[in-house]
Amino acid sequence: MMDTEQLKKPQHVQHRLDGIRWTMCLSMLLCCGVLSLAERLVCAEENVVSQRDTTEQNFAREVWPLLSEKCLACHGSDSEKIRGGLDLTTSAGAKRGGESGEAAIVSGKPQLSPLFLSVTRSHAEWSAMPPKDNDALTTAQVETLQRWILDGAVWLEGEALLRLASSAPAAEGKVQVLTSRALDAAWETRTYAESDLWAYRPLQKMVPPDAKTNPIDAFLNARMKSESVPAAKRADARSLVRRATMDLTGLLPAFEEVERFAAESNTDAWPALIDRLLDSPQYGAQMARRWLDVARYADSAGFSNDFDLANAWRYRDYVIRSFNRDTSFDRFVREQIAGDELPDANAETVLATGFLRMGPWEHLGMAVAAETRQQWLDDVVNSVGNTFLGIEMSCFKCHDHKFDPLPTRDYYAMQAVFATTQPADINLAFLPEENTARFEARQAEADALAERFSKKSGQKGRVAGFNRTTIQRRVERWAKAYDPVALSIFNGSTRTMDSTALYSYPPALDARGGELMTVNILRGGSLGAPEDEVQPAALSAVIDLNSWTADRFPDSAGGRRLALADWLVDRRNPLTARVIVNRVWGWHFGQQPLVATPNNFGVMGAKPTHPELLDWLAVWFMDQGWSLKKLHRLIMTSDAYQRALTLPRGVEANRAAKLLASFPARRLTAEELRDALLQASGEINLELGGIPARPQMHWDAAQNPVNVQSGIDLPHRPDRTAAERNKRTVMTRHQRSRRDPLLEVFDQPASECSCELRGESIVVPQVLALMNGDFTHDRAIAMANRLMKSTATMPERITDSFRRVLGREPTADELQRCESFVFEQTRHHESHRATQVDLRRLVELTSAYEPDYAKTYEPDLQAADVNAETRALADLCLTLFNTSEFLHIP
Amino acid sequence: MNAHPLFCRRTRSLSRREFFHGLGAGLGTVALNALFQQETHAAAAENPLAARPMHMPAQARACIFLFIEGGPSHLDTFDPKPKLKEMEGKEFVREGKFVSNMSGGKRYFVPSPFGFAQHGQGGLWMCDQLPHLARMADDLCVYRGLTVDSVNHPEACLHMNTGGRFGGEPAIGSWVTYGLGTENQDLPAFVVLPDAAPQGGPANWSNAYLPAQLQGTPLRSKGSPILDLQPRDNVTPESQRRMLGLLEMLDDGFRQDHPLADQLRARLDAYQLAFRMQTSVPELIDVASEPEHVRKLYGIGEEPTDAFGRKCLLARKFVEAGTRFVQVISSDWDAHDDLAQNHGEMLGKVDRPIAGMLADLKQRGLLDSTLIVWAGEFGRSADNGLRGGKVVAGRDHNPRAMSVWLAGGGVSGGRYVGATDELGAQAVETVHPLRDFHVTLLRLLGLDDNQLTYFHSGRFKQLSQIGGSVISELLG
Repeated sequence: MMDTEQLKKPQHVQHRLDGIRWTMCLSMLLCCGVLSLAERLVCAEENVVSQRDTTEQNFAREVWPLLSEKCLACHGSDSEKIRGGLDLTTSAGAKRGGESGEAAIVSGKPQLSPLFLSVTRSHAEWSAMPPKDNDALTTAQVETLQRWILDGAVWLEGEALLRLASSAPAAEGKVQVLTSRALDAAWETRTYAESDLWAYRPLQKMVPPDAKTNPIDAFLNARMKSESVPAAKRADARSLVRRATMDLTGLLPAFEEVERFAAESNTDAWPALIDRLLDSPQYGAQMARRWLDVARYADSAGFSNDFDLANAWRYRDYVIRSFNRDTSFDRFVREQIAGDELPDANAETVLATGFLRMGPWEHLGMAVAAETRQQWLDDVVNSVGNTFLGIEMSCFKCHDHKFDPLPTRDYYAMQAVFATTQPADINLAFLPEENTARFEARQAEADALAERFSKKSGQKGRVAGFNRTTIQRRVERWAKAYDPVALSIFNGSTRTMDSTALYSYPPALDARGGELMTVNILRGGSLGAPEDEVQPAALSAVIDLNSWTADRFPDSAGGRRLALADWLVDRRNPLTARVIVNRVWGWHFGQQPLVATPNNFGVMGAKPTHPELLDWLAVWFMDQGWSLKKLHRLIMTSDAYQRALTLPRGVEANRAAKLLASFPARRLTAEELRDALLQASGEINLELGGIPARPQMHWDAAQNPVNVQSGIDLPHRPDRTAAERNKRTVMTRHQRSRRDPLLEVFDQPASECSCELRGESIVVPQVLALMNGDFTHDRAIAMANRLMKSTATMPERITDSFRRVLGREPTADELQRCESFVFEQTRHHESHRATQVDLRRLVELTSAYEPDYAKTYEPDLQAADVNAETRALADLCLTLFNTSEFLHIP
Repeated sequence: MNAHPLFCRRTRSLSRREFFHGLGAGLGTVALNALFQQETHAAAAENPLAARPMHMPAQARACIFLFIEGGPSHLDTFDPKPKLKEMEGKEFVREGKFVSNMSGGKRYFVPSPFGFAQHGQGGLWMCDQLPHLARMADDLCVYRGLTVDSVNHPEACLHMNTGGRFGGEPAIGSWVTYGLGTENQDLPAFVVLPDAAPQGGPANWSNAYLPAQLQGTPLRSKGSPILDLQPRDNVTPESQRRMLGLLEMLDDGFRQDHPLADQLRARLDAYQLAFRMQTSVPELIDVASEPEHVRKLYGIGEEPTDAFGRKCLLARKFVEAGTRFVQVISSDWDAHDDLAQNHGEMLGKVDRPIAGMLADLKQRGLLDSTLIVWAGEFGRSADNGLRGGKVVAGRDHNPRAMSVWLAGGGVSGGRYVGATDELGAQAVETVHPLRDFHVTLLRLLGLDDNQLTYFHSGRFKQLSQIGGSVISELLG
């Protein structure tokens, strides 16, 4: 039990002290230019008064917000949903009590107050409140209630409460935030721990603790030194070149490249290697893959029909080009949000707005147009929040944010930015830099298919076992991919969608009717309950905490998104730069960003492990013109990036990882794995851009029936030529309803929403896919076949296989063991013939709707096509594909 | 303040929970058990698939969820409305801002094409297309008060199966195995037996943000039940062991001094488990080994019941062997056009297998501990619109009224809970949103939705999304 005397006494004193501290704090804040907050603090300073006032202030500041947050949802806020008959919105209600008939609060006697006993969660008679364990009050909060009841349970209501709540000084280390306006007046009086709002607060101009080294090392070393943790030694040259190449291009370095780098003694070799990699067009492909995770990219629209999005690949290729050109990140943000509104808008920037169209989308006959529209707006608002601000917007859509200074009004103000934005598939001529190779042949193929399933074909009901109309609607979209259509948006009225003929397509540019949409707050998120109308505006908390004044955006039909984009990349906005440098950091350091939750910088997100470094990086990044390539270079030339994986002696793994005392290991991502397999076998096609390739997918998975509206979808049919099938994974088709199991089991994310970091699960299907799967087997056969032809002796072939897969020579032991392995496997294969796989039949099964497809299919080499020795060597290649060494970045 | 402990899930410092693998698909692991034997008890509790105590006394220890995809009509199965006969062909017009293209305009009422009779002690009404299930009427508790939020198939399917409408949420089976683990570490903890991937796709059995081993394992009805379970046919156990031996040798050296040594070891253990599964899974799913009379009970070997009968039998076998959650899916119930033909056919496919499964479970003493759920994604409308300008006897989607039923798991049968209005258009008694139904299912399995939470995206997520109430009438 607490000493009640002790609790009572210091209150008055405490607040006086607070006053002094606040003054000090105030001058510091003024230095940072936090004027609006400062003004409020000045008022607060003048308000420190008597004891009675202090307890009232305590109620207004501490107790009432606590009751609001923890109790009122079920005990008063909604008079129709009061639980247990207890209404805690007024003192009278609390004294009356609920169904038990006992007063909830007995003044001066916490142990007789059911309200207090419930929140302790340990009373035999009164059940734990709030009911959810996760909502339990902290010890400090329980003590706040106890102290308040002991002090006489002073209660304020109405105007008096609000007045005091907004003027009383916040407790030490706490701040109040001036936001637009909350649904619930009590919410506005909340205070926040300063440390919880770190991400919203201005960027601090940090000075690296050591001017002589790479600033990154200066910060990291200072921290390691203060915690007496030694650094791991520098990684060996072979590891470094593999690490850097995989990081920047998603590809394995050629063995010759590894050798050349290992032989270099020149200190410039490392920065030169980084520059070479940054200059490679494959850099853009790798960065695009990472960005597309965040941007929820897919080639199809999901939901019932999962139709193809109109040339989503043009947005994908725009992203690749942007990274390769090193488009400044602020420009990249502005293009994706408002590419059509920029003063220098052009075809390329219009392609960028595909970002706004990447979410799942569908409008069906049974759907209400207003709801479909609302879903799109929610997707866009959530995606902008996650991607650029590191804010989970959905957390304050239905109620004011439970933890962050984000009122529901701000959610809808952000939505109002997009209220005049209309999705549209527009005609936009192909740019010279877009890859339209082989369009003619492929278009002919798609047109023939469309023809075959068209109404005119005269076929009724079914074609090749498929519902004709179901398939017609799908292949029409395939054929459309060769028209210069782009996923985009325009500003204008929201058209009524009243024709079933329109469904699943967004309305055309010239569609009729409709009016400019206004946005109302939807309490509980329900379209049926519109409240105040809101205008487009920025997040008020960011405005308030960063001494901005203008928070309104234009309310004309156009220009709203550009205003938002400009606000995002304004140097006063502390979030955007922090969020992107944190992502890039995570891309380099084994998926271990400085803030472990890259999409959530809010109160419930992770705190930065190195806040000073994060802020220094963010400021430096902006000073360098938001150049990502410069950021990569800075990070990769740090000692920290070049450290070995091996832990420094006596340092535990998690600690070493957190302090970056050693390099954090990571596994290859699904795409890196598939690409590396194709590289090792010598089959990869590095051509970038263009219509998504249809890769070889597990033959069973390719045929798995998938329900779409009124029928079964066509199977996945791999491309005819090996070159097309073997394009890099980022270039392959990503259909939401039919995913490649090889990629899926290695944690490729589904793309319903933004993915902040890849998982690294360890599950049995990974074993099955790598050990028994067609794809790895085919690569092993192709690789073995190549080795058999290129070198004369088995030891040479074994050595070469190690070089290709692991980037190194085998040790003497390994070589010997592998030799006997190949020898024994050869004998095994001599007595166990490989069954001839009828590939043509498999191709027919996946392209049954397309006669003659199988006849022109260029099959991969199969086990039965090669001799026993080649099969044995392929077994070695397959085993190498399964090693941890191959699967992890060194 | 430090990051929430669960964030370490996202970082390099994978917790043990992270790297314990299953067929992730679901399979728990023998190899892991061996590993755990050297661990403290506390560490063992980290295995997401280790069997765990329930939050509260449970009525059921396993669940078979019959997901009837497409929107089975309550009006033509368990909730007859004679009034519709009187209203037959009566026309009206529906308009309004929140009326969709298909549900708006000229409408007419559609009576059920099927006859109805009462069955069992409880006098449950069932249509004449369910002669086998009718004999089990006293085991069914039909709930008619449920309402859902979406009229579109994919969103509604995802809503029923995952609690969220737009994908990205864990399936009920994932939540249940997250809460309870599994009783047989050698089998998938959460099995799915689909016809075709339902609308909304594999997201219907996704683990979403929960650990990957909690994902549903779809068993394919044709070919290998699990993708790539079997090696090539020229691989012998001996040649396979030789490869694993070489792999061990190559990995042993690499693993030394590697900061992820534990994870890498766990990865290799997964190879041993995969090797074992190549025999254990085919053994379990061998339907042919069941006695003739059992196969007959499920309608196996006969049409139209063979395919669904096999699934129901497999469901029983998995539950019997310790699997926690089996979802059996029947697709194609979307009867906009010809209700009599569509539902007639679909009911014929599932009636005998489901009744057989109930009887079989009962006979084996498993029904009391196995909760059976029948639910579609929504019910159907009492009225229909013109289709291609013509009047047809079909029904549109209806999120405001439907029939779901529970059996086994200690739920007493032969009774109704809730009711719909005179036309069956709207639930009017004991009306609850879907999240309450989800909370109730968890409760029947001994789980408290408010305690079964996972920190993700800045908040504690739960199956009901925002919390819900137990529908107490359905318990007991």
